[in-house]
Amino acid sequence: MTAHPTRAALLCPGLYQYLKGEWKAGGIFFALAAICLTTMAFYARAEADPFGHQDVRLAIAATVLFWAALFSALDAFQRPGRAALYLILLPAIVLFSIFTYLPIIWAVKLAFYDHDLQTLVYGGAPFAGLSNFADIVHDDKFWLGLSNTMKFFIIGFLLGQFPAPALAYLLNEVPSRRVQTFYKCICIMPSLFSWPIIGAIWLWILKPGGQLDVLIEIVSWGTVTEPLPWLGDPTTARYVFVSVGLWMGTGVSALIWLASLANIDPSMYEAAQIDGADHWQKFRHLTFPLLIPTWVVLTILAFIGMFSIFDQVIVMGNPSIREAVFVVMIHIFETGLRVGAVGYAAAMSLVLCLIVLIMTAFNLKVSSKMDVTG
Amino acid sequence: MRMKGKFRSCIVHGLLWVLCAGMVLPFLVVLTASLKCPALGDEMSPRTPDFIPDRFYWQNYLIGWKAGKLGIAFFNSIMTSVIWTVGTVLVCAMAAYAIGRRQCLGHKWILLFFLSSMMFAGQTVLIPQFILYRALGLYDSLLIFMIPGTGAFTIFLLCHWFKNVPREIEEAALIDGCGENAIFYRIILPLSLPALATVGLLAFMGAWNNFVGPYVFLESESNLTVPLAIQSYIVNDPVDEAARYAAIMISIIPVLVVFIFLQRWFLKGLSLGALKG
Repeated sequence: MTAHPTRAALLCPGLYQYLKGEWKAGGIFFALAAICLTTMAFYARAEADPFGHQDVRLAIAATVLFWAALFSALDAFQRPGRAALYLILLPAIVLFSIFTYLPIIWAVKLAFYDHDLQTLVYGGAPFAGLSNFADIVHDDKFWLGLSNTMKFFIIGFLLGQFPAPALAYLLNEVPSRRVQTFYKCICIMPSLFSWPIIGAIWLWILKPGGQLDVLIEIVSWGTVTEPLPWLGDPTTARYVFVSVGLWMGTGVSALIWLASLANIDPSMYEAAQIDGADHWQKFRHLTFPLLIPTWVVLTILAFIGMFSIFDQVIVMGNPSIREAVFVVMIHIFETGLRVGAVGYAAAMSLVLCLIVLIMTAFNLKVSSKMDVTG
Repeated sequence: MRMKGKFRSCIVHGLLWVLCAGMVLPFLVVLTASLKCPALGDEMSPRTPDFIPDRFYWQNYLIGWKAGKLGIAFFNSIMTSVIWTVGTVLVCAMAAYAIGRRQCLGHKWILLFFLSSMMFAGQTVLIPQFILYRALGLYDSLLIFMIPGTGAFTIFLLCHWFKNVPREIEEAALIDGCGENAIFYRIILPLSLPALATVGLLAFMGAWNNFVGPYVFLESESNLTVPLAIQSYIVNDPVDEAARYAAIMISIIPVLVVFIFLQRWFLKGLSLGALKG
């Protein structure tokens, strides 16, 4: 048992560990693999489910088998006694694979079939080849949704540049820690709640004759008495949506800026002061470049957070502004779950995924360039 | 110079008060609305600023609780959020330990695997997940929200944390004859409780406030979580406005209370997220 087992033992999960004397780890790997293989054999031979549920369960068992085998093999190449590390990694990796990656692979399969409400329940969807993808090109709603999503992102990006750093700057100027903590708590309060709550609150304030109109009337010394169409007019509605999103998120972003500001070594400022730099020069050459990484991180987060617009549209949308706030995700959602055309919805999801990936990669490239030169 | 300092301080505090008022006033407006009673002659939409309650018609809260089915909703939300958070933090902590601290073979690739799942934003996989859950027989079930997992950010933060735990303690324990597994339980885990608590809090808030998930995956009347209950109540019952806002206040208050008690952890969670950049 102490001799080095042949590498051929890697083919059987758990065998290598067993031969090296690690009974427990080897046993667990082997047991997992055995259960998976049995499950796979069972579902492969069982009657074909018209909807393909068999395939899903088969795929899940295959995934677990894959990771168990891979980890068992990898374990052979590292120091002895570290098999336990792979075992505690297994739950996380298996759960991720099943619930995040498997749906994506499933979407790829779905995109090639033509589903509707009937086939969703009873199965038997015809193979559609690439026609789902071709349909996307002609789908006006998809392009409308995409353009609305882009508009939201641009408006959100532009409007969101100023408030968070400004708030962080203000907070930084507060000398007392306790007072600063008080302000900080109030600032992150809006971000603690879910969209139905935030949406209902703002629907109440923004309704015709609601509190915002009252505020406008007061601020304008009684000149503006007509209720303004905050959520009635399509163009205004976009800015209102973005503003509500900013109201929620500015506090959190400001705190991130603040933490980064506090991280800058004060001795660098002192050195600059000795060298004769004034306030503006210190900002331009010291503060600004050091905050660029934070800006990059926040932009990427904002980009990923753009998807929360889905919640907002469901909660705060109404028929009169539908054209303006109809984002791609809503179209995918309605196509998939209301009309039942999951194949087409999956195709759109994949295209959207691809667009997001490209934009994220682009984002990363641009920001890594800025990091080096800035 | 001193006058300039005081003047500046006034402006800073003044601006901060305006901004903070902007954050807090919407909640006060809803609080006021929730305490009104139209039957007794209160005007629900007055043409004057309306954020201080005049009347305290608390019966609205009872009506809102019943009509909004908040009892079931709170029970479901608490159950699913707690189970999900505990499960996720455990699973992610184990993974982060293996990747960050002990750096098993291939740890860079595995970390990349986890992080790249962040790029497939939750909603693009919504439809396929729907099909997946149906295939598993989990259609319209609260179990969907109790399966731990997808916390890429959690793993990342914990990885970072585990990497930075000082090695001296571990080495001292090894010299004293502590086994490798015991090091995890007896030394690293207790040291990491602050990080785990922070990460757990963030995860809990995410699970509690999750709206799209329940909206898409749950259907029957009794399978409600708090966000879903509020949304269906608001949409389906446009008549009794005061009770609606009372229901909203009911769902706001627990979060606020938790926040006030744990605000140190909330703020810590944010700075953890900031420092990783």
